[in-house]
Amino acid sequence: MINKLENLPNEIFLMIYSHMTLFEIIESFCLLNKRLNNIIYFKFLMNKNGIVINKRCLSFNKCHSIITSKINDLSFILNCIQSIYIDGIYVNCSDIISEWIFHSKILRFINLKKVILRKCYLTENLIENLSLLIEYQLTELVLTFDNDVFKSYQCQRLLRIIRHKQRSNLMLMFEEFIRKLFSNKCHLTSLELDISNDDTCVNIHKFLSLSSNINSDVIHNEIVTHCKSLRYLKIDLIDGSFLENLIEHVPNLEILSVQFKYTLMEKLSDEPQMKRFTSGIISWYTKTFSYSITKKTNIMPEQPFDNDSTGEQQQQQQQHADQSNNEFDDNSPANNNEQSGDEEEEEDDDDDDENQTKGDEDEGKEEVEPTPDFSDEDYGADFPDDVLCPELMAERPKEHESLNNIIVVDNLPKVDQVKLEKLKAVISKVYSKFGVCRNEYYPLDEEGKTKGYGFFEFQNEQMAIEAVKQTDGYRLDKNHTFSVNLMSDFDRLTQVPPEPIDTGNLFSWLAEPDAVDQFAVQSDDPKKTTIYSNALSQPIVLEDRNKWTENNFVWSPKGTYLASFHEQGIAFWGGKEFRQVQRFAHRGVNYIDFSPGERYLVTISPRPNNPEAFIIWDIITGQKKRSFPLDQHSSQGPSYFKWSFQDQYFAKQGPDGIYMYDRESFQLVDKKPFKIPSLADFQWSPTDNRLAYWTAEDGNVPARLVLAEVNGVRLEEVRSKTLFNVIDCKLCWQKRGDYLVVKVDRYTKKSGEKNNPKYSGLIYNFEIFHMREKNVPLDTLEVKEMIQSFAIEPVGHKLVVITGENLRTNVTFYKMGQGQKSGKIEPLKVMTQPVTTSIWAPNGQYVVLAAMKTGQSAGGQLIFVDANDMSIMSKQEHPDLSDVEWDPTGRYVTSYVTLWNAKRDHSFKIWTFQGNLVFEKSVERLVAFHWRPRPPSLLTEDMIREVRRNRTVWTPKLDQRDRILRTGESAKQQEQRRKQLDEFQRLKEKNVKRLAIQKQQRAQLRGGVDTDSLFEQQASNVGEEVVEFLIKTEEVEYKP
Amino acid sequence: MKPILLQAHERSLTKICYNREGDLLFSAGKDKFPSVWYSINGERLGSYNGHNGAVWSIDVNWNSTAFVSASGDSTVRVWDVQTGRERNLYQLDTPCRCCAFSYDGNMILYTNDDVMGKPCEMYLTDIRIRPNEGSSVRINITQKGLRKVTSSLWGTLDEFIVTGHDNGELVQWDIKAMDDVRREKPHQGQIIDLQTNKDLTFLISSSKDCTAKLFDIETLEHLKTYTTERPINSAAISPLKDHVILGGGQEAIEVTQTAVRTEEFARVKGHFGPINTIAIHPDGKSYASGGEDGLVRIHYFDKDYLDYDVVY
Repeated sequence: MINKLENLPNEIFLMIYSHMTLFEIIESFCLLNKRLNNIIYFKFLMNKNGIVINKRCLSFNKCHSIITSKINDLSFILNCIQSIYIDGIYVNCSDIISEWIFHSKILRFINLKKVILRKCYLTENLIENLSLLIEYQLTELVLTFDNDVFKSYQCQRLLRIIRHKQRSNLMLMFEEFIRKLFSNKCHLTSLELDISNDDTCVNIHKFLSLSSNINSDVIHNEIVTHCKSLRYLKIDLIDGSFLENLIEHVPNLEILSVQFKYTLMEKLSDEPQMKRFTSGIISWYTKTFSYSITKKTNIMPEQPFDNDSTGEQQQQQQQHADQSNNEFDDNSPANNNEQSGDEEEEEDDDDDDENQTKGDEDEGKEEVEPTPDFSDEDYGADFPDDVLCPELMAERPKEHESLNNIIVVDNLPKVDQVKLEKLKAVISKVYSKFGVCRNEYYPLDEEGKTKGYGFFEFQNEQMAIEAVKQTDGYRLDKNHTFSVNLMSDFDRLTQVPPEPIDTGNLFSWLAEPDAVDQFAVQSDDPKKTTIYSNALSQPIVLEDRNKWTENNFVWSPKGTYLASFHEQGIAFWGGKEFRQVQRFAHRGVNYIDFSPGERYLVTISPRPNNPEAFIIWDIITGQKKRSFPLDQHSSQGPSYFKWSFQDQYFAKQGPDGIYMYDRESFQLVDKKPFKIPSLADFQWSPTDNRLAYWTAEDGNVPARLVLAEVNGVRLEEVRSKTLFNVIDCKLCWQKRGDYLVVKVDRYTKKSGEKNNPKYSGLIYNFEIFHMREKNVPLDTLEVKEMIQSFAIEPVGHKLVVITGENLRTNVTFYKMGQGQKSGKIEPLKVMTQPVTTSIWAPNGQYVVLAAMKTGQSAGGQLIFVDANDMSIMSKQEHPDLSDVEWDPTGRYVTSYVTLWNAKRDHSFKIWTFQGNLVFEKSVERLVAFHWRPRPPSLLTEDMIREVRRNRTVWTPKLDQRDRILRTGESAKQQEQRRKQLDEFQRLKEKNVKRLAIQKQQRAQLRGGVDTDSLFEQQASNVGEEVVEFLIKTEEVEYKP
Repeated sequence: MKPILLQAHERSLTKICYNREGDLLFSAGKDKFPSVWYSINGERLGSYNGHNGAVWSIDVNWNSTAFVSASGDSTVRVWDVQTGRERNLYQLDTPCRCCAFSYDGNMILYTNDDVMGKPCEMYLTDIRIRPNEGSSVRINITQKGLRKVTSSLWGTLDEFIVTGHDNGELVQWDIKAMDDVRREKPHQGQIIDLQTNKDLTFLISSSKDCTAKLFDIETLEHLKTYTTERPINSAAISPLKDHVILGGGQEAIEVTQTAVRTEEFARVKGHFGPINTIAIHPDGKSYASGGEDGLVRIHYFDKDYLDYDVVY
């Protein structure tokens, strides 16, 4: 048999051996012959010198017998064994180790470097041996303390074999061993420790903490030492505190792998522990080269400990360190593997397989990312066609948005179904000549009759346009004239331009029952325009707006509009609430001028090279009628264009005559100007189509004064006068057009050069045309003194002339003769009053003589004169007076001081026509004050005369009305005043009572004299007393 | 009627007052001589010579026997009205600002300025006691946390004093307790003048803040405010009508109706420069104004004014 066996090759033997355990090999083949021994030796060498002792091994007795019998002879084998794996679930490990590894305390395996110990009962013997091993022999140790480890101990406890002290001995040894593991007596470089099945009664975790060692005097005295050799540490544990204590003892640790039995949080929900742990971890982190913490949940108690590969995986997964550490980690398991025995590796493989599959499953669960599934057949169905095939879709027929090729024909005959065909035939005949009528449609009403219109679609736009052009207004018969439009014009036609803004009644202010006038006041800085109503008691603010206008405001001549100036143009405001009525866009507009009838507006923007310096607008529609460029040579000013009285003509002074335009065509009348050589000035009559002009002296040609009448397209001279030695003329029409007064300045001597003549010996005279007389008689009035100003009574026959210089002035009233007396101008009265201007009331009779502020004097005198009898009604004062303005009815006069005239005390005062002050108000930085004009009265002369005649009837009524207004002016205010008065009276009454009570005391204070009534008594009791005063002393010679 | 012009003083007026009957008008100015005049015709009776500085305040007692003047020469003097003799002299440390006679005419109150590091103080003295004998009551105004007194007067029945202060405060002092009982601050500017109506029930204050205000004298309850555009130097209440007269500003004084509204209804011109002081004749038919120009003008109200009555 042996012989045959010996014939087998070495490989066969190795294969056989690989299916056998160590003991079986030893038992079967060892010491048979040299060759077999060599093969066994080789086998062990190949298996990385590891032996495994587990349940498959022989029982202890068997093992013991074999080992003990043969061991001495097997030294060659034992010498090569470097690693021992003991899975002592059925083996009494302690015995084996003690008996087998240590043969009477002599180590059998001289090269033993690694011990793996699992499921062995903990005995004193084992601990003792292990202590020796780690101190002198081993470099690697794997210890797993599972439930079985303490089984014997627990059994003993259950059986109450051990007493308290005995237990302590074992535990103390064990504890000492654990301590030794991390002390300088341990020379391990690699340690794997599984204490995750720690028993509560043992509590390995506390072994390292100093506080727990109360019972142990031994450990207590021990000096804390370090295990300087330990580089690799893998711990399975429950509690982080163990780690914390551990850290102190392993200063040279390079790799740490920690596995927690439960999840970290679950176990460490206890806060103090958590804190301890975190602090420990931090200290670990600072000390160790690399570490990894694995949270291992649901760990199986029976799971094999040495699952290196999974550990490695986890280690890598949980790697927190940098790359160098990574490298280190990668290397270390490899080292471990190298050092592991063959058998171990086999075991590992099995375990690894298990773990691997499990890991795969886990992976599968983890990576449940949706992988793209291309099996979907509907893919791409969501995309529209034009994305998929844009080229094709571009050629797809499109809906025609334009309706340009459709026409709408209105005013067709309304016919019923019977006649429809005939109508269609007729109509299509009409339209067939324009092109192919693609489609026609006659809408029908409920009764089936056509609605009188139809739609026709042509092939293209041109045909439709042509059809519209030619058939619009086509007469089908005498009752039906087509009204044809393009369908596309439908929107345009239906869109009726918006109704002009409803500005309300623009004349509502005239309907004021008491005919109260309005006035507007503007102040600068802040720019504020205020409109007042001059109510009887005192003006009431109607409207008050900031920055209403940019520089000025102007009332229209009839008072309908208030024009405000803006950079963009002019805005008109009117109606009850002064809303914007009209706008006239004219950039940079400076002046405006109304036609007298308020129909046209001229805006003037006098910027150089402005092609539209003058624009004439229709006020009602806001339309631009015509624009004129700025004439460089002509004068600029608000009255550049002068309007005739009914807005019929407007004229301007051109280089060689009068350029008169017609309001209908806005073209020159007669298409050419009226040539008037050396024209100086002209003025329209306010009531007739007449104008007066004068021509200046030109060489030998004398000056002429001409009154002309517009007759059709011609200008006919009515009256003229030749004047010599004229310097200047001033044309002035009376408001009613009854008189034309021309002030002529003449000279007696002329010297100096032609361009800069000097005049001396000035003579002033008036040329007065009596317009209403036959042949327009002409009067001449000579005035010796220099004329400061003059004014014609607007309604009447008087002329006020102010002559003199500075304030040494004479005011002369003249009466211009009328009727038979014409030709005679009689001076009525001369007053010597220091005034500069005279301002007539709008209806005459009353005149205000005012001294405006001039360079020489502040002025301010206001003299109110009744021109009927030339009596001075009153004299008033308003210092620094700027201007005086009558209200349109002639009831009130306003004097005002503006910013331009005075530095301070800007104000306006309202006087009655008699000169009684009605109201005054100071307005800071007053710029302008203007009464709102009124349109001319609609009453005829006779009616006015009738009213005047019945004045006695009217007066009481009006007086009563005034009284009511005055007393009931503002019931609220009055009520308030009465209340205030009552309150004050009550207060006074209270005081009177108080005084009465205190009367006695008062008298006492003043020595019993009642001073309260003393004065009254005196006043009544004391009689007249003659007091003589010596005023003047005079020495008189006594003559007896 | 043309106003009577009194060429009263060489320098600007500081205070004028009528005696109770109204026949005498006392005036004081920045010159050293307070004077007395017949109010009826403006004849000067005489002057009280002795002061050595501007006279800031004067007052006359109810029976026109004694006349007190407070001067910038740090003295307060009591004079015999009839003879012009100096009866008492009270020497203080700093210029004296205000003085006033009590209702019974036996007590005077006077105050001095808080200059040269000295506090503003208020003194109450019985004029019958000789100055060096009797100890006058002395209240330290500055110590009370108040600014200097610029005007003062006695309240009803000599029970209290009202003072107007530099910062517009109005303070009522109880004489028995010698302490302030009410403090109001009706004005933003200095209270220049305080006057009462004839029966000492109302009080009118005039201030630099361009307002004059009417108060109840006992409660200091604010009743009316009269606003003008110029600082008010003096204000007086008419005994005849519910009117007040305000004086001040540049060249105008205004007559304002008190009771009904705080509206101005008349303005009287005349003085060259501001009006410093105003007093209404006890019969209410004339008033006098003293201006910066050194003149006193006695105006008689027109008949129109006396007949004028607003009826509501």
